[in-house]
Amino acid sequence: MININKALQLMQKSVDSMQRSGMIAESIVVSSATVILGKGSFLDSLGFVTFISDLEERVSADAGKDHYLILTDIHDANADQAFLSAGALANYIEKITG
Amino acid sequence: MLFDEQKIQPVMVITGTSKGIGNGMANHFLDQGYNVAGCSRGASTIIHENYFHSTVNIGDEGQVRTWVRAVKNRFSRVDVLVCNAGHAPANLLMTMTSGLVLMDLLQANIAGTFYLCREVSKIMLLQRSGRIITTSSMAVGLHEEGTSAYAASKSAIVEMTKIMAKELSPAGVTCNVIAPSMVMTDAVNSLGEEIIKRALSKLTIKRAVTIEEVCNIISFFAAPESRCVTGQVIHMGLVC
Repeated sequence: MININKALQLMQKSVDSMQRSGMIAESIVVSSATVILGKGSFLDSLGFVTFISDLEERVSADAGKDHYLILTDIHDANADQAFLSAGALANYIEKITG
Repeated sequence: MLFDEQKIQPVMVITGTSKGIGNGMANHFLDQGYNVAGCSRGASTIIHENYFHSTVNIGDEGQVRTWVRAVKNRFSRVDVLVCNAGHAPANLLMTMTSGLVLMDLLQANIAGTFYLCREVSKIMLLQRSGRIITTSSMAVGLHEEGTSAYAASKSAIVEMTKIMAKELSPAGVTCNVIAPSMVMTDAVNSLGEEIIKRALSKLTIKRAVTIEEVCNIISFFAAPESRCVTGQVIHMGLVC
């Protein structure tokens, strides 16, 4: 299982990787409150998809088996919010890998 | 060859490789030095050390997702995706086309292409490069009686590809369409001489195109020099 703290660490690695590749201009420190999607997010739409794709690979590698981050499922798990936070995404990852 | 300058053996994903055009393409690009990942609903008909086959129903979202992940695990990258697989039913007048036939066609041709492009484009986004080539048909330009469902599905693929081209362009991924006229595969031969003759008479270039000619267009879209060619449709043998 990937717990919430580990999921946040994997997100940080994805963000750092995207920054190194030039897709994100500034350095971002990921915390539970960091907005991934919605108003205030540091990612544009293509950046969001790239981030999820990169994170999906890291989650699968860390868990030792294939896992899929399915956007509709993430949305359903976060339906009451107008934005997606790193904490909500970490919760979802903990749930699917548990 | 794509990425030749980087001395990487490129990876091409082709759907519908057990027979027909897809089979010809797979063999052609294996000969060109590509690693090829192919799929069909049945067993493999290609034996080659650089060929990786899977049994996949491309209209099934979960199967496509699992297959594309398996390809990524096997080759680590995908340089070219050729969405070749699809259904081409015998001509049916609209008034005789059942909902079941229509939905089966849309599922394979539109949804199948969509799922493949979506999953492979995620890999290409991370690579910051890639070529997606979808397949339309001469049916889109001919507006022939009996092709309402089929031509509509192939027309949708053109529109889908043009929009993908815009969405993926910032990541260095190009998306183009090939629209072959008639290729003499077993499936086409089974239509019979009279239907084939009538179809050929409606083309601008009144002969069947060869698989080598189709592969030439694929090579053009895949070439490094074609990095600024995106959202385009090449019709073979027909002025549209």
